[in-house]
Amino acid sequence: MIVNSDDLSCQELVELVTDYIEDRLPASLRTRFEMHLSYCEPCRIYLAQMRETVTLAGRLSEEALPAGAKEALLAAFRGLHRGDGGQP
Amino acid sequence: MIAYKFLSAGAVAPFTRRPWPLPSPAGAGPWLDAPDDRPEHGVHACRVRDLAFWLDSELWRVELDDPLRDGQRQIIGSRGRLVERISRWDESSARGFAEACAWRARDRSVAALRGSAFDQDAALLVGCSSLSELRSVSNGISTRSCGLPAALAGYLAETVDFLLAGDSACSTYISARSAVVAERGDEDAFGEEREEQSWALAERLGLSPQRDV
Repeated sequence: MIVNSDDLSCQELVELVTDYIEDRLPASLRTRFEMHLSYCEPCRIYLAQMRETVTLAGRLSEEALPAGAKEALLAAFRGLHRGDGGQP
Repeated sequence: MIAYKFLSAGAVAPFTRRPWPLPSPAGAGPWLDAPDDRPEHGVHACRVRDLAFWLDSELWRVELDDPLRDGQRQIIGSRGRLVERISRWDESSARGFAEACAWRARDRSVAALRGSAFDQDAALLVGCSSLSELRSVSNGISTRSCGLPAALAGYLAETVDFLLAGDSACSTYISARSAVVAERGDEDAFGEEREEQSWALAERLGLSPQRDV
């Protein structure tokens, strides 16, 4: 719950980071997000890491995966849904 | 309109990472246009009273072009340009500003101690003459005290911790949060304390005393 129009917690920021990067936050929430970044170095680093991840992941294509990687990833995701932590 | 803007080192916008074109000896820098036509996506700057909400490495006086719009703790223009860097704002003055905020948090803590008749602990805090002493004394009070005085002493200790660790911006934030605690959870106290910090900062930097910019 956001209780202050001039403030946002680190946890709230983490929950909103994808929408921020994709420019889907309403103006008031984006402002609070950026206010938080003004004093919170760890969240700045987190945002930079997320942006870097999105950039790097965006360069990947299915064809670029090494042999067997697709099958291993699919197995891991299926395992995740089964609750066994995704271990193949 | 002339307003103020904090930028990251190298005159880079802190959130979009766009570099701002620098002024030349002849005058203001070239205009920087808003990234698109959406009203909330204009060029952002702030008034003096909101400076403390946007601390960063560099502080600039900027000119915003019409049409202007009021945002939350910001002014939004269709385009903007750098007029002049506020050279008095640097790492040293940032630390000095944060120290002043820490002493304000100390005064808040002292008032709470006196209000709860913990006069001896209040006197200990009043007698502090250095940040390290302030940290040590406030830590002790937060441990052995209870209720509001303990909470405020804890905030004070953390304010000083971040300051001594070199994180001035976060230190000023924690100091402002302690105002909410002192006001028994009234969240309006946060914005009010941030504004008080902004005025104090403006005075330190010799910015316009007018409160309408």
